[in-house]
Amino acid sequence: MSKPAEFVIRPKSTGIIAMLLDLWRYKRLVVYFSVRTVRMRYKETILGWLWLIIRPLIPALISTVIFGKLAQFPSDDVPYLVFFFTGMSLWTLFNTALLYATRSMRLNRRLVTKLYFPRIIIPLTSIAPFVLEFFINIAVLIGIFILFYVRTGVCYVSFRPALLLCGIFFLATLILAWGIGFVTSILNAQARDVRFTLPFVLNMWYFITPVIYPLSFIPEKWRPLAILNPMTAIVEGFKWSILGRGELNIWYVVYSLVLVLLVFSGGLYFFSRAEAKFIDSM
Amino acid sequence: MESIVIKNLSKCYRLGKRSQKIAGGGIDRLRQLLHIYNEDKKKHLARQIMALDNISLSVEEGTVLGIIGRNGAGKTTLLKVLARITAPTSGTAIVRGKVVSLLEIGVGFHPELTGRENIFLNAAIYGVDRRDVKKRFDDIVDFAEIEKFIDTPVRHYSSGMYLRLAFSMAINMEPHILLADEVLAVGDIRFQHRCLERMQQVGNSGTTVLFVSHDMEAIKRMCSRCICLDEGKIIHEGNTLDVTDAYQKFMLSTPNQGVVQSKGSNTSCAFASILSACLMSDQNELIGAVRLSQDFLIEFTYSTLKGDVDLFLGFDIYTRGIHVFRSYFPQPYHAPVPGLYKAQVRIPGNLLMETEYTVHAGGQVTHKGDVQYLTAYNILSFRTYDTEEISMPFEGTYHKLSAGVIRPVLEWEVTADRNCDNVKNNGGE
Repeated sequence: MSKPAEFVIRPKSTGIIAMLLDLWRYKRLVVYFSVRTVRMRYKETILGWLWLIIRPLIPALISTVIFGKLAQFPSDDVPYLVFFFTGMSLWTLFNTALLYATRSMRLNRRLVTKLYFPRIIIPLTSIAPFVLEFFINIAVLIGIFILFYVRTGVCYVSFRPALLLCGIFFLATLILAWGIGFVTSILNAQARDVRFTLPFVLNMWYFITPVIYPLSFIPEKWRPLAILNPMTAIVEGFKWSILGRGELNIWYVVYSLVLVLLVFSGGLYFFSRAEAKFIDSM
Repeated sequence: MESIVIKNLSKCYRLGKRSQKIAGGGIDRLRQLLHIYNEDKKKHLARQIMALDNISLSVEEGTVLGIIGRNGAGKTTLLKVLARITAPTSGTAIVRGKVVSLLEIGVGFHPELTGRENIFLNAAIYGVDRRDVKKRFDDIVDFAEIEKFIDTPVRHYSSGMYLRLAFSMAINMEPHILLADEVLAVGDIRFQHRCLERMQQVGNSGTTVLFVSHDMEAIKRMCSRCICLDEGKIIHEGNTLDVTDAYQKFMLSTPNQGVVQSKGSNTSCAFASILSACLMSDQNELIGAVRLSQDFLIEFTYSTLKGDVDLFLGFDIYTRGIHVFRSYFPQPYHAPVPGLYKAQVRIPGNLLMETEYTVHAGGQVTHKGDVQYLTAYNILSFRTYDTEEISMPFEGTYHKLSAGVIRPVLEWEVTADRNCDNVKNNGGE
């Protein structure tokens, strides 16, 4: 037997550093839980993987007809379907990741009330299926690009070094969803109000984020207000890096990234404080 | 060296409304602002229970410590605090080494995954390295006796296989400290014995085991030391035999009374309600537990709210989720005026098992042809003790526990069969 390590159990939480060290010790569990949540999501579906492709396409086609064709929304001079699908992929990642991170603690109630492991693994891994779905959406998007290329001979992907920046916007989306999810997962474990309120909030949030319209659609004087929403610059930047249309204000992006990191550390801090106590109210 | 040192440990739970201390009491303040729940607030503050009340204890390395006590005495809470599942309200506890807890069977298992996959998943939950698991994989499978089913999803496992795998996992993780909460109650007798043996073995090799059980025989066999908890305090500590004896005496003498607390359930209707139930000896004294050899009474208290109510009430008795029997008034009782009514039922000695029983009261009440129903779940639970040790002369694997839900003393007559003798003799000739 190895030399036993001593641990002191106290009423107060052990703090962020200890929590992160503990998380590192349990890193394998992060992998296992991620795989587990993915499996759980797709078990007992007949169409299985087919759902992954069908689900994003239907709202994309509907939105293309309503906003692109009927309402004639501008779309940065690319076909509306391409424009919308690019922004929607990232928004869907944020939306579903946050919703499920929020529900995660309640879904794993039995586990967290009967076993010890770093609880942060639960909201952390709950988003795994949505990261997978995001990559499938991107694959579908690539399919759409190819389709347009074959039919019209125009390639809408702008191949340039800045294309790689889309990875940063993807990560920022994850980190923001985590940061908020750390807080909401614990609040939701206490009161289900959170779960009922959140979809409304996300619905509103969707409309103030430039997904169905470009940022340039918003009048100049209102733009600073729109940019307060951290998702604005993220979604806009994601579309910019892939489609290469329009201008991207670097300060908007810096502001968003700083805000995202602040929210993430705040969420982490909240989680480390509340971790030891919220179990009792589950 | 001590492997667990507990100093002035307390754990306080709030009943009713949940603890809202998270976010610095922000939710409380929000509620005050919105004027919701304000009325009930004082009541909530009053309803705190000390699940652990200033406990101090140190456990030497390699000790197998038994923890006994009534339901709600704080046994599980103690394990949960030591396992770091919940934080104490005050005090500290030092634990040395890897802690593996077994608070509920197979809680870390995922039903869709196979036994093999679950072993690795569970090990990850226990924080054990994949390499270490690979080394012990065969031991785990051997002890659990599931070689044939190792690649079958665990949802196809029987409850016994589930238990065996869960226990085998926990014990093969080479914990320094093993926390086991009444988990063996569901296994078959042979496996229970192997578990107990194995726990003793790991105790001898230096693992500290904290073992919660209601099974006094297992406690006596396994544990050199024992503590008895009641209302969050350690009321007895020391040599196992002394503590278990003191506990049995304590259980027999402390009145056991169940009072209906929740208003929301079906314990009352427009005509009557079930108020309480208690356990009495055949001399009409309140008792806390039952000696198997003696008759005892269960007394139910009802109140009627109207005149001319016909009560037709009774109770069901359960153990380990099994419905043992139901008994009702032989005929409806006519309660002429509103008031309190008591009903006593005598249960003969030498009928029940040595175990724990739960009583649900209920029945129907009729007022002017209108029938309504009452049910009070878990109104009373009590233990029975075989203080004379009359029943089971068998040692070893034919263990007392899990040998049925009742154990009536029946009349037997054993004689030699003459006819049989003749047949044999005839055949011989």
